[in-house]
Amino acid sequence: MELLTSFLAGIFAFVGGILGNVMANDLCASAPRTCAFIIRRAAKRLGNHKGRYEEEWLADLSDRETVYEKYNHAIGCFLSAGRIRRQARKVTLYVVYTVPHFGPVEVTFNLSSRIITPLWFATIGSSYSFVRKCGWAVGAVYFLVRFVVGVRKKHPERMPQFAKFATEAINNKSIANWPFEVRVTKYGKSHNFTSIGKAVSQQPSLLSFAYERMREKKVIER
Amino acid sequence: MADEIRMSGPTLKVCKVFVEDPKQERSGAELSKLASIGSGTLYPLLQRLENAGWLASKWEEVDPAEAGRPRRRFYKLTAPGQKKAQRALADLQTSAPGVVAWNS
Repeated sequence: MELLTSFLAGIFAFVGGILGNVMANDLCASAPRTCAFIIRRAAKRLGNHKGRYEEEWLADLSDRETVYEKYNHAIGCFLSAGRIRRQARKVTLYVVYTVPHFGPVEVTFNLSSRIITPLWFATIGSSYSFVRKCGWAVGAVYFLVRFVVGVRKKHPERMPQFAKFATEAINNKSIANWPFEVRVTKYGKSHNFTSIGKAVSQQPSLLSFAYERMREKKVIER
Repeated sequence: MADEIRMSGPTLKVCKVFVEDPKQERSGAELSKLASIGSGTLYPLLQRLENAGWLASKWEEVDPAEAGRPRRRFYKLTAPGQKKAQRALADLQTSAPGVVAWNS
């Protein structure tokens, strides 16, 4: 019995060794072709930017010498494609206030969040007035927090002074006259949305409409 | 107005490679070797830096049919990018001795 077991183990080891060797050899021989295939698949995920990244990554593949480097590069490119796609879809809204006697304050919002942003816009567009009011209250608190973050970022040393200044502006209602500029960035390019921002500040219910239009025009993609 | 750059470890490594020789144009493969960063981290980072205006890129001036391979994409620091990268590295030098040790 022992003799039979060792005989079978020997055969398995022999066959396994040969198959492993053949597979490793094939893997090495087909590395440039397989890696180019992985890179083409990765570049396909980038839509309009496909051509640029495919050519760049294939050129960089030819600069990798060992089989390990080639596979490492190809898998890295596949992972990169997902990250680049997410980065490209990122839409940021900037509201830059020019606060008189204080300076500019930049308030930023990420519009491409997959859950929070659509949820908030759904609440302010809800047919139930209680849900709508809650949505606006949460939005106002969030805006205030982002505003304070913007002040801290730009003028960290003037925070206590700003608190006093803002209280005075709220009391004499001059806060509504602070000039502002609205910009939206996507693909690293900035677009001026100040006129829409001014219309929204006059009639806040337009915000939900503007968001839906941006979704329809695919400015914001999920 | 462009997105701000988060100064992570890989970002600083790439900045360091560029700042050491600001006029030198470098391809992705070259940067990956010099900064010891994998492709999965490098290309999204290069895209972020390019979008923020720190880097400019252009295609290699070569005929792919003659060269027998696709054209490389070369990256170079822009003038504002060079200033910002130098400032970021200088901030790092003055921040903490442990970080300086990591950076060297």
